Amino acid sequence: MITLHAEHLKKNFDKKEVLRDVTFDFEQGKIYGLLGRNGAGKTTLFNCLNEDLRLDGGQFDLEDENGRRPVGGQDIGYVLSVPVVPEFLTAREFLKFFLEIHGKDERKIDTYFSFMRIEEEDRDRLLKDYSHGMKNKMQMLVNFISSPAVLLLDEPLTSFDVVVAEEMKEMLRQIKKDHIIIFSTHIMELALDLCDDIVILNHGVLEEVPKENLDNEEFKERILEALRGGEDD
Amino acid sequence: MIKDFVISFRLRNTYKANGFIYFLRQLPLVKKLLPASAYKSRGLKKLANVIALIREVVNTFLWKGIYLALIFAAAVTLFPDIGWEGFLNAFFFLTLAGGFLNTQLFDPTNDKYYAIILMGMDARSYTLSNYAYFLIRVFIGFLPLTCLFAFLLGQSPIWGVWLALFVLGIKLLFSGFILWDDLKSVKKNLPDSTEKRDAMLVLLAAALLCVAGFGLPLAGVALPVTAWPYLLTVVVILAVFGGIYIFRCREYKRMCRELLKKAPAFAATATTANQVIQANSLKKIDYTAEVSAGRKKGYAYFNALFFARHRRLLHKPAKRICVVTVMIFAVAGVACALNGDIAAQVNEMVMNMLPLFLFIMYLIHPGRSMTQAMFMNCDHSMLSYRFYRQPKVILSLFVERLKSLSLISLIPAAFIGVELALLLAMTGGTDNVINYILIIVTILMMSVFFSVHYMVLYYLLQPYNIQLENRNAAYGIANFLTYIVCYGAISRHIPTMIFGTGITLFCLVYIFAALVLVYRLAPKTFRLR
Repeated sequence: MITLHAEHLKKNFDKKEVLRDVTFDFEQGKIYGLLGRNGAGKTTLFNCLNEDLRLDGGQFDLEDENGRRPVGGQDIGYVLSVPVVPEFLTAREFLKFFLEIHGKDERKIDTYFSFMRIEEEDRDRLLKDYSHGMKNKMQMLVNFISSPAVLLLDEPLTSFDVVVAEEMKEMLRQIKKDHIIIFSTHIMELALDLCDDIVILNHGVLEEVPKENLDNEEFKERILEALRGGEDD
Repeated sequence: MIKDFVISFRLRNTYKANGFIYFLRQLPLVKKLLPASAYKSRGLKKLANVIALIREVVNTFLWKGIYLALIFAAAVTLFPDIGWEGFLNAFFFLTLAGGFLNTQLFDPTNDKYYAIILMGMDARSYTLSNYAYFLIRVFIGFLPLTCLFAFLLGQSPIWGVWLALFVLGIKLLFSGFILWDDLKSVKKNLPDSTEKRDAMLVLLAAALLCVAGFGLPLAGVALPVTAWPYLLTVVVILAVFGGIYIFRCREYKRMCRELLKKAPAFAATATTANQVIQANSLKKIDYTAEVSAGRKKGYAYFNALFFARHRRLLHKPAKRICVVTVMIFAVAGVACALNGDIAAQVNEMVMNMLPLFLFIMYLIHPGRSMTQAMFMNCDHSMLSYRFYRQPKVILSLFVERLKSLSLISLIPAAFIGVELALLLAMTGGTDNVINYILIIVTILMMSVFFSVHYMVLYYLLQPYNIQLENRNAAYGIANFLTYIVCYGAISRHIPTMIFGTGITLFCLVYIFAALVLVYRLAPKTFRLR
């Protein structure tokens, strides 16, 4: 069992406190729905975890059967809402390069493409000519392949058509048993449908919204209530 | 209309004032003193507004002053025998070229986009009021300067009034014509290729007009001064028609919608100018199925593909530069063979004007465009992957890139170095044979220097964030200083032996120091801001 410990996280932008002594534990086998109002700091939290931003205080630790240690580069996979892929490569070249530097079997390239349902005729096209959704698929794929302990997903499903979005949800449900998945979204229905736990970032503090014995409508009301407590910026 | 103009003027000024505060906040030390709340500080806003206004006033006169000073300098130095006639000749043809090229009415600027498309201001009222303001600025900007230069050339300052009116007339005449032509294109929905062809034709016409402006007086021919009253009369009459057409036209809404598609702020996918640069940068990627990455693996393979896919940015310009230098060399060689005076001058130049080639190497080196493509087409995406930000990855890719960039830019440098050495030999040679070697080595060293310099600047000061916003003013300042230093070298006359030895030693020290800095600092500095 892997646990991600976020402890006493602090992050300020000028005088604005975006993360205010955030402490939370995320557990393997769950998809966490991270909700928060615009500007609440969801992306900042992800960026700090991915070391794109430096924390002003606190730390992230990972605990498994070997003990507890600080989070390292190989532990985090980050799928951004705007897909980032090297546009000058074909999908096959990107995957070949990625497998090579991660010491994985290059002969499996087509298996991976098939797993992600990327059609044969698309595999040798330049990534710059891919649609937004297709680029997102590639970004998801390389993050799945590197199999990090923690997978951060920042609004990743919004660019997919309904069929692909359902396929992706199914894929996430399949892989969650080996990972900690944190899923940031503004779409409540998606969070309720996909996520096991709902976590809200409000006033720089992270808190879980317990579902207890509520039905979906009552749960939704409780989440909205918690969100309304946040400032709108 | 006046109300619309005042609103648009205030909008533009606010835009510029915020841009100024934003710029200040990018400066390393100032940033700490100016919090984000600086944008609401009334005092600072007023100061920024005043500075924006001062810039507006300075811009009204500065470029026109430089432009007229250049024509004046040409008249008194290149064709002093027909000074005033030559000045008028150059002014006439360059004003015609300016009529094509400087047409405020059709500039797809962000402030126009915000006012007309985003805020829904009346397109006609906005366009015409701002165009009238542009014309007033043209007249006010030119009037004192044309009077001054007429006076300096021994003419009555009243000439200044006629010349300023002539510029005004040409602006109206050409803008009227282009507006008529543009509306025709919008109605016919002509394809982009036609637009590109027209743009090429305009550039060609402008180039020919510039050649006529300076070339005719150099050949001792110029428009006679007596023709000017007739020319002015014709231009004023046609300008009246142009002006009537512009100010009576009712199609500005449609024209602006088409025109402002080219504005940097257009489209949700391109919200900053840099995103437009990225979109353009992506267009420069050529798909090549047969990339020969050889046995390369990992980052070497990745880099080989990057350079292969950017051949248009690297190989083609390098080839073109080689061809051009061979042509210049051939022409210079023939001229030297036919004329002993020219041969002596070329010999003197090669032996004493090597600093000029610092600027030439600066101009032809692809380092800046290449590092920009590296970011826009590659690092912008890849830096968001943690594996790509590991120190050993950053450094190994840096080395691969530096090798590729240096090798490609060495080819035109080698052409230039060898051609200069050959020219020296053909024009009487030199007593000291080391000079031949030194010329070639110096040019090659300059090329390596620029490769290292641009790569080091990029790796140490990488200025962009994921939204492609520039977050590091130091990068711009460093590039500007590079330009200033190279430009300053143009007029230096230093014997090749001294300059060549000095610059070679300097380059070696710089390259060593820069590489040490990159190895120490790049793992920390090379990341998205």
